[in-house]
Amino acid sequence: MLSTVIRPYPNLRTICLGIVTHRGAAHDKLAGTTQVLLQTMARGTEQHNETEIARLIDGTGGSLFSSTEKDFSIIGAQIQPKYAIRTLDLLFEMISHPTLEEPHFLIEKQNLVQIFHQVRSNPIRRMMIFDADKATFGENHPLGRSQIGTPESLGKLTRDDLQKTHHELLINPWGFAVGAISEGLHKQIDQKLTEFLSNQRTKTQKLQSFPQREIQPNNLIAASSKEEGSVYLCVNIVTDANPNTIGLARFSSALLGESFGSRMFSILREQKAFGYIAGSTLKLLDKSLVLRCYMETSPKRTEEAINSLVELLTDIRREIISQEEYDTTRDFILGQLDLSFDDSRSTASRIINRGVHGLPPNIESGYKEIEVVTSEGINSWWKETLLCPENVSLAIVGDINFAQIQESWKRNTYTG
Amino acid sequence: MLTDQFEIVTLDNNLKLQLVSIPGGKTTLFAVGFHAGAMYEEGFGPGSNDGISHFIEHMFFKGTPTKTAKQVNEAFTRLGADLNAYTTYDHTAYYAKVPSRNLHKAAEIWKELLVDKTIDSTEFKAEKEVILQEIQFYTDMPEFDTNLTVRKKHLTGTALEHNIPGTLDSVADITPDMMLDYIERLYSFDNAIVTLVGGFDLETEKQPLTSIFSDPIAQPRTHPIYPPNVEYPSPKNGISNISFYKKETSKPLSYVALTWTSPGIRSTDFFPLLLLNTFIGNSRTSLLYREVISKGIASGCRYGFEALYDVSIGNILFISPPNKTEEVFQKVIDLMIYVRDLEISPQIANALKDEVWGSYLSEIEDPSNYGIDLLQKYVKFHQPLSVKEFQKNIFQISPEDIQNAKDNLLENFNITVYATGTIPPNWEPQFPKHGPW
Repeated sequence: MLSTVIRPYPNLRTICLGIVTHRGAAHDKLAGTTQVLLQTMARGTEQHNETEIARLIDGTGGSLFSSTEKDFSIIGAQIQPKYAIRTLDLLFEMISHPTLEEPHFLIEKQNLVQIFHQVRSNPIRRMMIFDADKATFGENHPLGRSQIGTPESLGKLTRDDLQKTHHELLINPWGFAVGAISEGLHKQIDQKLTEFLSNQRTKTQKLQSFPQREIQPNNLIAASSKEEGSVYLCVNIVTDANPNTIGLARFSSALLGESFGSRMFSILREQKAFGYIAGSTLKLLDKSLVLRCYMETSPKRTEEAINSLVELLTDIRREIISQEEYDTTRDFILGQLDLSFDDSRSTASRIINRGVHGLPPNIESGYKEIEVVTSEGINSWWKETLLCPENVSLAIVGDINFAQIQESWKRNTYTG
Repeated sequence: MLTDQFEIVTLDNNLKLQLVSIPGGKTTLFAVGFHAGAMYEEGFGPGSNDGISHFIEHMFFKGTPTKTAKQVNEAFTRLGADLNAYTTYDHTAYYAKVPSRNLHKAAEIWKELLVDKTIDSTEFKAEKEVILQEIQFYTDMPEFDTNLTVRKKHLTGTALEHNIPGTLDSVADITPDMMLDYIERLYSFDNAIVTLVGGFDLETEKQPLTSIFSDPIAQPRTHPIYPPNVEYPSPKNGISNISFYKKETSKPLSYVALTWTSPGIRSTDFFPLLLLNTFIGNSRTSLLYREVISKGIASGCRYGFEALYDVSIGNILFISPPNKTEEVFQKVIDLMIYVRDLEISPQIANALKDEVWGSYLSEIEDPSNYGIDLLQKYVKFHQPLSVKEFQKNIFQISPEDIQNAKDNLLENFNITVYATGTIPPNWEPQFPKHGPW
């Protein structure tokens, strides 16, 4: 198990540091609990109230952040090196001794309900935050629920629940520091993080797997809304994550929609002009890999857009990619890896995401994962494992004819 | 940042290169900015060129004399580039961050993109569809839509009335000829600044880079247009005033945006106002965070500020349940009155300087932000403003400077308010009786 991950990058000017815990929103009994907890923890400790915390961090140009993912959480700060040790002490205090006062808890709960409505009112955010995971894992699956909860779940949440969750927060925790770290600072940070973690009532446990996905083949989650002028859709492809599939998945995502030279951008946007947005992302979620291809189009072209996107996916299975496209995609990924060291917060975020999911906690390993990918390997992975109805789902938001979309979606050709 | 090497080179073809070398950096940001934005457009609605600056931004990467659009995209992809562009009122910028090992290859592509443009009719037609969808996309986002609309209402009758992406009607009527005419007028080398910021050695790379961009195929054209000769909004002196517009929709929350104008970058009040912005909005030390978000009055309350030559545009957007709209608005107005009456002490001024400087250093850690920041400063000040000079400008501000800038701003203060979503029945924003400003 990881204890501390410290990565000095001399080209950076700030340090991003904090604590990662393997408790995330998917562990919540009441959806939204972890998010409310992390927000409330920043509202004051036994030693410092919120204003003092803001002065110590934001007042120096730094920023405090917490991040509630489905399968892990982070509490951290990005700060100038000279404030690193002071900031660590403050973060430790926030984690160990937050006051979690009732008025703050109530405000944070109420804020999250409002954020729920904001997300629901913004079609693309709604699709990506609520509907995509629901389509991928199932509506009642812990990984299918949104991390921000619902007005109903948040309505039931009490301060006791929050305190109980706070006691359970530090599951398999580890510390991280990434950025402008000198040799002397390296030792101090390491010592502080190790000392803090060894003094905490941390829970070291073998993490329980979440239940199997509960979705129908070719699952579809559609939200019909007459108010939107465009239709937003996202095809999700999910499979088991393991070190052998990371490179294949990374390559596939880049090939499909991560650059101006990708297939989705050049065919769906540039050639067929479906809409402004066309792209892909890759997400590690617990023990799964989720590849998302998302786009936007006009309501009258919805079916055509879905079919064109499915055709692009089927093409990867049907034909081995050309040497030229392989080289371009590989060079793109290797170049993007070179760009991954430009600010401490996003570099830390990449490293944490790898570490949490059992990959070597450094970006440099990404180069090796790509070097072993071959055109044939991509093709057979898509053919034999990836593109089957059990793995593929669609989330769609906008002014649509549900029955028509459902019919069209079920008729997809990739099952052949 | 303070040890970075900084140099400006003006080439024989009038192109200016702003070069900043970051010791130890591994990536380089290439950015090209033109004084060509929405405020240089003419007319509104069908038949006008409203939205043309943004349309040209979309067409910029659609080929060069030797490459098709697809080849340009593939060439950048192969370099591992993060490629993007944006259009605003006073300029349009194109940029790509690449690994520094690909510096020369990237420079060669940029050089080709900078030479005279042609418009491919197939690409033009397809891109017009994309832009019409993009306008629809913004309309679907209540936060975007509210901010765009409130600005348009507030700036009516001035060159800043233009919606940056244009409208469905105006974009539909734009033709390739209109585009070529606009390019001919505004996309000249003396109207552009090329900025390179990143991990390269200035001594070694200056000569090869200037050589690439001095290539004879890049012919100079001379259409200097800066400072811009456009009509800016003028404040109505004396009495404060609220103009209110609304559009009911079925979204469950209220989206209310307030906007106003303040002195632009050529004013001596500009840097003091930057500090005042930090006092009012966005970090956790700010007034809006402490008094609105932290107290649970509204979950979303964002402060925005865009600086132009003669004017800056400030705005606050808050999102709240409809039954709280009136309370939030009242709170925002009360905070403005608090700011009006506040005496800026040396402690407040010093704390603001530390925060502005510290957050600026964090912001420009990434060469992308660093390069775009330097490009924008060059475009707006019409001269470079290095990190050191920016620091000097910030730290020489006195409490009196901030006090004076605040007084000047609030003396001529007019607000436009635009509300959308679910709006409380019969609600109309009012200044409190203890105004005027």
